[in-house]
Amino acid sequence: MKSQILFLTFICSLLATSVIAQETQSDYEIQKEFKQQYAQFEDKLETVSSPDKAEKLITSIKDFDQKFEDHSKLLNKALHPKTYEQKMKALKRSSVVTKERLTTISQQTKKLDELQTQLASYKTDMNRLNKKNDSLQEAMAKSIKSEKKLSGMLKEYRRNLEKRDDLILAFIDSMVVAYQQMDLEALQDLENIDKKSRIKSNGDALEMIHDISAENLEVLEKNANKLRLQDYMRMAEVQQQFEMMWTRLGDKIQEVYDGENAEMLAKEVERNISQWNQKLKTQTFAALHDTLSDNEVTVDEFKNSTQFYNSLSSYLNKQIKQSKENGSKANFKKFEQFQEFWNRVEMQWSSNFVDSGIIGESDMATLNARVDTWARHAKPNSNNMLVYLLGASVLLAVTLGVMLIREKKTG
Amino acid sequence: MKSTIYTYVVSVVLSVILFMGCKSSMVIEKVDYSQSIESVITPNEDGLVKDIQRGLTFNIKPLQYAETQDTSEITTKQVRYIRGQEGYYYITAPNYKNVYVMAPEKGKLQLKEKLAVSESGIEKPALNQRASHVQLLSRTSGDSWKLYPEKAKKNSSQIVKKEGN
Repeated sequence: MKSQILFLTFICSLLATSVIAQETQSDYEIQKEFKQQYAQFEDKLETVSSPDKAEKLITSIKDFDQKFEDHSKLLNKALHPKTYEQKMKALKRSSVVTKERLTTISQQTKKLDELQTQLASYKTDMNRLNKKNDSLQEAMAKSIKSEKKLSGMLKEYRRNLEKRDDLILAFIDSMVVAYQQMDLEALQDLENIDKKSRIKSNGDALEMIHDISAENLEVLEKNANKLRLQDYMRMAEVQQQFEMMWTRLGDKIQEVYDGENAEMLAKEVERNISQWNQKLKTQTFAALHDTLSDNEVTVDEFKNSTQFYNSLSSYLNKQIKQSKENGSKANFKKFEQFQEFWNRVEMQWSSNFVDSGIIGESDMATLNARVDTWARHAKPNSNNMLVYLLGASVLLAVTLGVMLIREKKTG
Repeated sequence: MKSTIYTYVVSVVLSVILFMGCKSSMVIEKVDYSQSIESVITPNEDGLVKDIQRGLTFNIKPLQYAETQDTSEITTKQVRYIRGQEGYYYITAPNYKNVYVMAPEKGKLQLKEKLAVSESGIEKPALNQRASHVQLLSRTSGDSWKLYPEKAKKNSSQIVKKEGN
């Protein structure tokens, strides 16, 4: 009992002391405490590193306001020429801005983490495909005598290259999505807050872009004899997307990269892209000529878009003239063979042709019109007439024969 | 001759009186000198109290001597003062037994009143500006006094009631 009374007395004296301590704060101490706490909040807002902590800080600032608003008149004097209300408003606004900024940073970090995972996965897949292609190339070199085996391997090799291109396109999509929405200022803030080096994944991004551009150049250089026109068309699309991505986001990717060799890597990427583009064009024209030859379309040599247009244009003009003069079956066959090639160009690759600079849009339209003209004259109409006349003659002969037999019978 | 001198002297005296009457005619009434928040200053080793914000510099030695009868070294670690509505400075320091009401004069502060507040001295004093007076507060005990230029009046309650700012 005695101990309980003692305990209660202790609690009461504690409470009384705290009340006294609270009540006996002087004006000077009130304004000093306010200024100190205000400065602490400003410091915390500078260094807070997560949206959750910023939210807690907002709540603390509200409590801080409630604690001091009774002293606003005194504080107006202490804070002159600013007022208590102005100071609190500024602090609250700053806390909200900080929270929003941290939320953006947090989202950015999340996106970068996702990108890092994706990049790691792309890198693994890419390495796997590259290894497979290397071993296929080796195997192809060994089994050069067995044509059937070689053909199967070549098909697989080309399929792998296709998969690789799909992977690059997926990588480009990921990069575009991640970097387009990336706020460089937010990243800088994140770096300032966490004192971390720049996110590793971004370093990977520039290195990976560099590696892809170099590898693609290598693929073109090593495989000129194994690739077909459809491979080049797919590759042209990849190249265009890749170049577009680099033009739009290259500076940002370089800016974000933390390595000392950023500028060198970026320059090499640009050089690789340019060479990739040039090599792709040269090899595409060669493959185009091969494809035309395979379809028994004999055209003059061409190495650039003007020569290609001129060559195809003169071939068409020649064929149209021949069809007009003498629309033979042989000519029609030539037309069919050409049409088979041209239909594919029109249906599948027209945009690739135009986008990769193989041919201009208006030249493409001109060639289309010429092909249509050839189509109108290629049909061997005269031969059909003969067939119809022959048919009609046979029919007439049969009819006359039947009539003659009937006449004889009745006679 | 005597009357001429008399007339001359009277006219000179009258002129002087008239001239003096015209000289200091402008007075601004109802001036409020009250300082919102007390100044808390640490004196330097020579006892000099420099309040840069308020543009006031004085030496604490005379006040310290009045309190301790010793100025061989500066024992006053902190000086707290506030200017009242009438323009007097209320000066005290930790462990001082008195609050000194000082009237500002040309180049000096003249003691107007020495207000005795505690026989043992106040360990943590503070001065607050209030509407009609200056409040002296003991931050340790919660005791408070109403200070006027001529007197100090202790509040009856041990716990200081909240007074308006």
